[in-house]
Formats: sequence, C-alpha cells, structure tokens
Amino acid sequence: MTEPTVAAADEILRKHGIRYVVVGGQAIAREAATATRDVDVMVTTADYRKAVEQLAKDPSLTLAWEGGPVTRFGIVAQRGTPLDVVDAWEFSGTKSAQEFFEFLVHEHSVHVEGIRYLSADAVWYTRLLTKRWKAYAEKIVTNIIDGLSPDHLDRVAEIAREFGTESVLQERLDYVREELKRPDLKELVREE
Amino acid sequence: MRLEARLLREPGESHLPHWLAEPARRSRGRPRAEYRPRVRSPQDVERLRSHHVPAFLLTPEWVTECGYPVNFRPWLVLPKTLAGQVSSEYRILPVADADSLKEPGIVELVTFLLRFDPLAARVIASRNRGRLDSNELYRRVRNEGLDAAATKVRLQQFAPAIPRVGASLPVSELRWIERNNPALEASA
Repeated sequence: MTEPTVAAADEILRKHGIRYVVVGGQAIAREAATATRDVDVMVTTADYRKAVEQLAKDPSLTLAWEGGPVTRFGIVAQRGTPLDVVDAWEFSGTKSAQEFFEFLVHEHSVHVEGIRYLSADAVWYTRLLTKRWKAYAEKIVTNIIDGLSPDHLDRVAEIAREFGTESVLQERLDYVREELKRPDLKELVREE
Repeated sequence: MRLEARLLREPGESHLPHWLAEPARRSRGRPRAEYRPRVRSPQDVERLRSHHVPAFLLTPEWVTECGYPVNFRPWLVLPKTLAGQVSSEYRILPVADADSLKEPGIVELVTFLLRFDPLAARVIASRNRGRLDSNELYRRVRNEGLDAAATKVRLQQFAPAIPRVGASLPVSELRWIERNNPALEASA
C-alpha cells in the first residue's frame, strides 16, 4: 500500500505535470526497514527549475529551503512532512542528467500503484555519491541486515561504470564491504 | 567444544503450555524436563517471560515511542546461549548478557540497536539523555563487546568511559541524521 506521505506528494506533483521518480528512504522502504518519513523525488535538470518554481507557488506546500540541487518543501496536509526535490544532474557523472534519469527509469525502477520508485541499488548509488556517504554507508549495512542482498553493491558498481563515477565510488563501496566483514554482523545476516 | 544452554523445568515449577514449548527430552527417572520454546507472537514472548525465560521482543513501536520513528521487522532478543534452542519466525538478536533482558530500558535499547542500527542507537541516546545512566551504558556496551560500534556513533559523549575503538563518523553527519529524523511529536 502506498505510504500516505508518498500519495500526497504524488497528487501534488501530478497536478503540476512533473515527471519524477521516488528516491531515498521511501524507495528503500519497499524492500527494507527505514527511519525516513520524508519523500525524496528526482527530476531531470531540464525540469528542475520549472518544477521548483511551480511547487513554490502551490498552497499545499511550504518552501523550507533551496540548496542548489535540492529544494525542500513541507507537505501541509501531512503535518509538514518534507518533500525534497532533487536534480538528477547531481548524480549523472560524465553523462547528461536526462540520460541518467532515463537510465534509472528504464533500468532501475519499478512502477507500483501508479508511482515509480527507484530500486535499492540505484538508491544506494545516489546515497554513496553524496557528501554524507559515511552515514549512508551505515544505513546500507542496516538495509543488508534487514534482508537486502549485498549483491546490490555489485550493481551500484555497474551504475558507477556506466556514468563514470567509479573512481569516487570504489573507495566507498570498499568501505561498505569492509563493514560487512564485522564478525557480529555476519551473525545477524546469517540469522536471516 | 561449545557451550549449550537448555531450558529445564525444576521440580515444583509449573509446566509451559504445550503449544508454547514442547518437552524435547526427559530422561527416565529424572525430575527435570528439557524444553524447546516455539515463539510465534508477542504473547508467546510474554508467556516465556512470565516463566522467567530471558526473552524480549524488540519492536519498532518501542523505538518510535523513544523518539526515533522507524519501521523494521521485530527482533526476538535472546541470550546467545539460548538462541539456538528457540524455534521462531522472528529474527533472533543474540546478546551476551542475559541480565539485559530482565527489564530492558533506554540503556538496553541503545545497546540492542547498536547491533543492527547504530545511527538509531545514537539518536535514541541523544533524545533520552536525561534518562540515560552513563555507568549502565558503559557496562552494557562492554558486556556486549560493542566498543567499536559505540565509537562509530560517538556514544562516549553519553558514557565517557567507553573505550575508543576504531573510527567515528563525522560529527556533522551524526547531527544531520538527527535533524533529518525528527521525533513524531516534533514533526508537526
């Protein structure tokens, strides 16, 4: 069943004709535990500015802050739950944001109840490319304890090769793999 | 060599209900029966606890009530020595110190979370600082051998005696995690 916060965000984005894909914790939540209640959506660079301008005028949202490739709104009907609109360009590496967005939509997303969600491997890819990647690495380990396959890490590496970001991501993927070798962790993953 | 634990009914103690724990073995002429508990519901856990079996069901509801809204499949927390003796569809979180399962509070919750979600452990410790006994937290973390996990999320801020083992996450990332996951009452 669609999360009420995601359904509310979808209704608003649809009203403005904004093409998007759900990323972040709400996308992970389809497959593993998550603490996130906010909704992160990715749009193409071509749509990003226009989408932000349209949403800023919508009375069902409040504009919280603009921070370059991310703009945060609050969904009024959902007690101000954050809706982060993210520019795909941030993660597209050596290719265009449009190519990256289409690649994700066609290769690494699923359509559920009319809403498109990024797959876990693509979410991990975006998370490991941010400046807060170490905290996200911990979340990835928690996702794996919760049942997601470590094989997703191989697919993250494939996405990185496709978009020329492997030099940045290799060290970060190694960090996650090293974390997974902790003896106490193996005990929990094996319990699955 | 390995240490094995068994649940044994002492003379004079009442039987566990047959649907909760079937006798696994009873030697001829011996007064004690060996049990293998089956745990399928929160009520099963409560019944085991009422028979002084150290078991605890760690639920997302409790973690959320303590200030970290989260969804996860519940963990059945058991002493390591008992973990292999229980049949359950719940995931099993083995702990070294059975004493931590008697009356789990904030300190025990933080210690349990360190095993599978250290970021949640950090946020819970921070949001319940006034209820956190630093000596108890030190003792529990040491008993479970979780010095490295505690260091990673800088729990020395709440229990300075915990030895620093390994690297810590940057302070800015820990602050961001806390800001980005507000407690339910603070999200309106």
